[in-house]
Amino acid sequence: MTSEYSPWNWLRSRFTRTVGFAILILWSIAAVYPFIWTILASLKTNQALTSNIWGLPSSPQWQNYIYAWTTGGSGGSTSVGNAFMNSVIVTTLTIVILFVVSPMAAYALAQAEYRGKSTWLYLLIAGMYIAPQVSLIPLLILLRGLSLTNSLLGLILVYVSSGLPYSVFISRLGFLSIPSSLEDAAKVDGLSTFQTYWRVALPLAMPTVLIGMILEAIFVWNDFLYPLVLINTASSNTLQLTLYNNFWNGFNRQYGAMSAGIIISTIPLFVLYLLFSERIKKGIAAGIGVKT
Amino acid sequence: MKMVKAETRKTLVLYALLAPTLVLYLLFFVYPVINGLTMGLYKYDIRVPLNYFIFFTPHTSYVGLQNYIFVALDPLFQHALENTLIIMAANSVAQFLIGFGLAWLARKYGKVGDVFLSVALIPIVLSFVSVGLMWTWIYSPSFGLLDSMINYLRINGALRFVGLPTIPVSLTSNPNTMLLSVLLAANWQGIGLYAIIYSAGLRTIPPSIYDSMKIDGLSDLKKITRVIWPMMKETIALALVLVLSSSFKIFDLVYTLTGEGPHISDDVISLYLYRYLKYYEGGQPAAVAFFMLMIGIVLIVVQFRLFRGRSEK
Repeated sequence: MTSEYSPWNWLRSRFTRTVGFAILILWSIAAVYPFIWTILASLKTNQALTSNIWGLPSSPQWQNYIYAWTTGGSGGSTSVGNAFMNSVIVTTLTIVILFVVSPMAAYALAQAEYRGKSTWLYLLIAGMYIAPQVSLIPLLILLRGLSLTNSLLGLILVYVSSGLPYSVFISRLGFLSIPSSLEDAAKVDGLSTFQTYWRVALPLAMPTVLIGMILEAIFVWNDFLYPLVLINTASSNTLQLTLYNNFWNGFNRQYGAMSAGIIISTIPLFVLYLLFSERIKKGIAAGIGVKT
Repeated sequence: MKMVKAETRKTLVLYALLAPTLVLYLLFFVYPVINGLTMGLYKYDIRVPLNYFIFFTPHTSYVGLQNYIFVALDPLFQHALENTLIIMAANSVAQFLIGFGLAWLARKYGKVGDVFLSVALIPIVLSFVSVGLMWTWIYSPSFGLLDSMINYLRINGALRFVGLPTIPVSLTSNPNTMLLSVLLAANWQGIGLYAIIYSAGLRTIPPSIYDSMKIDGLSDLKKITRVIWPMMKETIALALVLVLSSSFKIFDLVYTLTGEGPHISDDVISLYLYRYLKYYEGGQPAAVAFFMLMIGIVLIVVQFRLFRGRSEK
């Protein structure tokens, strides 16, 4: 039974469509507006921030960016520029190591059952649900014993090992989706196990492996808790620590420079998002591209 | 005989591939977790440089379950736990209703709707620290975004006029609204993600179902509650596990929004743990960590069940 066509029904469906559309537009504005506001604020003087809340900056203060990058705020101990380089080093090395190590493990864990396989698999997957806070204190003590606190190397080791469950889990999904006939063919061609992995399986699983790496990079770049606990020396501060510490001297915030810092720290990820947005969305849609 | 040998060889190669992962994971992840479990049984000061074989250091003393009991009975911990549970529940509800709502609306507008979902996803590139700092400012009295908007639109005047309670300024500095401020910021950032998950879930429902619902002339609400949700059970459960596992360890956002917490009563469990950690008492945070591990284990069990359910299909 179709619903009857009448002017009233037509009007009603028009109305609900318009309201639905309005809600979507409002939500999009709400999602984006704070960004625009922060960009505008990063170009204002501290005085203009309170007197000219909504308007465009009368004369753009580009020196906010220079000040943040080179000096880094009155409450701070290191410049945003220095911290930016630290974060680049930590994120890049973490991802490089994970990129080499985790597909190898994922491939091994995607093979048919062998001695010990399921144990290692479950042990790794369980790691995804263990909050970093659980191992924070022992980790601090362990790193202190190895003289790796306050060092970027220590931080990288921590990120790699805590990132392994997630990146192995996702890479493994990529290997599982490869039809087994392909690997059998490789065997017939006389390829060794490692050659099969390197020449046949890895290229095919690469798109999925990449999703994991992108999400892992976003996580490492944005993480705050590990450096907060493991890093005490100013010269090794990461970007997120600097953002929090620098622009607050106990009495007032330097909002202009702080906004500049937020924008600087977000640009790399924003570019990453624009480059890979389809891939990221696909990963999220599959329920795998979410690192909590 | 030769077959067996080839099989063993393959296993050896696979273990060689696994080795770097296992070494790193066992040393820097599994070992600290296990160590953390035993640390709760000791009393010690972590300012003293400890041997990392914690049990053999002279500065520690065995206190049994004392730390666990202390934490469990500490009203501050109970309060922090309560706050954490509120955040977990409120995030689940908000991300389910709003996230699904946006996905449902977006579906009706096809390609344009997809663009909206992409825009709503943008905030996920921000760090929690950036979100926290941006929102502290949005909430700040007199020149914050929220306040100036309320003033500009005379919202409080209108509310007073009709006799409703007015919106308090500066949500973060008021202990009664601190949780609300955290929830607003968290969901502003997170909902886009869940909208994408639900939108993918909606896409798995065959078009014939949508057609037949149209023919039956069901209202939107009935379509959703009677047909769509039962068909999307798995997606909903998956999203729920994700929300819960990210909200129970929430730290950065609360830390930055409240500036280490002006009111100790605003703690969530991870902030409570951090406070003890900062003041160098080792056993008690380890006991808190144990309680967090328990919550994690519950989520693991749920998640494994979900995956098993999926692979059996």
